[in-house]
Amino acid sequence: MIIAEEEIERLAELSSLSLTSTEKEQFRQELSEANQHVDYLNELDTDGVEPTYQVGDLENVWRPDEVVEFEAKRDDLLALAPETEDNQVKVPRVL
Amino acid sequence: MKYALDSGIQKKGDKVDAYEVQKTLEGYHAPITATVVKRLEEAGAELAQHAGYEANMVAVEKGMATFALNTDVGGEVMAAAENGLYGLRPSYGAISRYGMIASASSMDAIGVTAKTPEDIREALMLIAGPDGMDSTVFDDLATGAKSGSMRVRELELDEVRVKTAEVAHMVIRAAETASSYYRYDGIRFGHRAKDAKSLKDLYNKSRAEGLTEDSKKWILFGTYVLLGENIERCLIKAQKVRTMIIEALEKEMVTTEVLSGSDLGVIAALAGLPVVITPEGKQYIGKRKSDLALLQFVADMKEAK
Repeated sequence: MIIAEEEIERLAELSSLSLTSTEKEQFRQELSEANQHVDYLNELDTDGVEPTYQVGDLENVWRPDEVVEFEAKRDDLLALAPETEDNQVKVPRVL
Repeated sequence: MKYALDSGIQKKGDKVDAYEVQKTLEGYHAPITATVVKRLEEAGAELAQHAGYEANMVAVEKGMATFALNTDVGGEVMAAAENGLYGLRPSYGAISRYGMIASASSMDAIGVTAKTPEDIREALMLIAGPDGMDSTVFDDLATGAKSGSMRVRELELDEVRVKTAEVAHMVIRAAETASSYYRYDGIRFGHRAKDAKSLKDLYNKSRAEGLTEDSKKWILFGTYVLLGENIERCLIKAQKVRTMIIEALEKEMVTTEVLSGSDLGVIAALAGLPVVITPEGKQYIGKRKSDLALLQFVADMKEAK
């Protein structure tokens, strides 16, 4: 199935990505191609087959509800933020 | 003992350069240390280099490191053979991924490469085992099948089955990567665009500037396969095919412990099974949690030659 340019624009918006017109065309082609490969899957009969979401066999891994010392300190993490002020992460005005 | 470490596996203070998210993590220095690194430090192992996986394999080949640890989402460790090395992609849950940059969480693993299967075994003994920071890790690695009496059979894969596995892997990887990479939004860490007009504009521009073209493709395709109108045809279908692959492998392994073949990396990743490649390019899949026995099996094959 070929993917239209409007579809790419919608995907970009949902993915929070600004795309240039060159990128839109490039991804439209690449995604259309990837989407054609999906047809391989639909040739297989999967009636009655359950989907696999994860392959670990562990369930409900518990741990004591205790405070554990974490290696990263507040200053280490704040140092990674693009902008900070008064020990807080600074972001553009939202409201 | 010296080791080489993937730049997508964190060591406190070191730069992180996960190849798919390069620019967004420019200037990012790891605030934490991966569990595998902590365990190797405790064991007295020395970090020889912290680089990309190709450079790391070369370091092992040249004897600058005994083994290398690299991120593996779809059998990238199979490149070991091209460098004259052995490679192991472990059972899902054998090695903690805490501190590794996540892409496709249900398939992400840490692969080990070395000159001999014994060296991989030694590395595995140091780094495997339960970790409070990665709840997928199991605790009974050593109790896998015994090596002495392991049977091997060729896994016959026709072109269609190989192609089907690759497509299922691609779809699942896209969906999980799109989800994992949502964290690169330019707020708490990573690249932030300068001239944004609103919060949404900040996300859109920061991600557009920070992520590579390859990452954007995975994200867009992942978003596509997750859309309500596509999810059944794409993602759920791929997850059902994943079940079929797992069941087919289980059936094959009722009367054998090891399967040999080619193009096994993606299949092992989908099924969460351990896979080893030899310098000659021979590939072997073992049962889940039989990593150590599988390495012993490969070592025995080497002796027998």
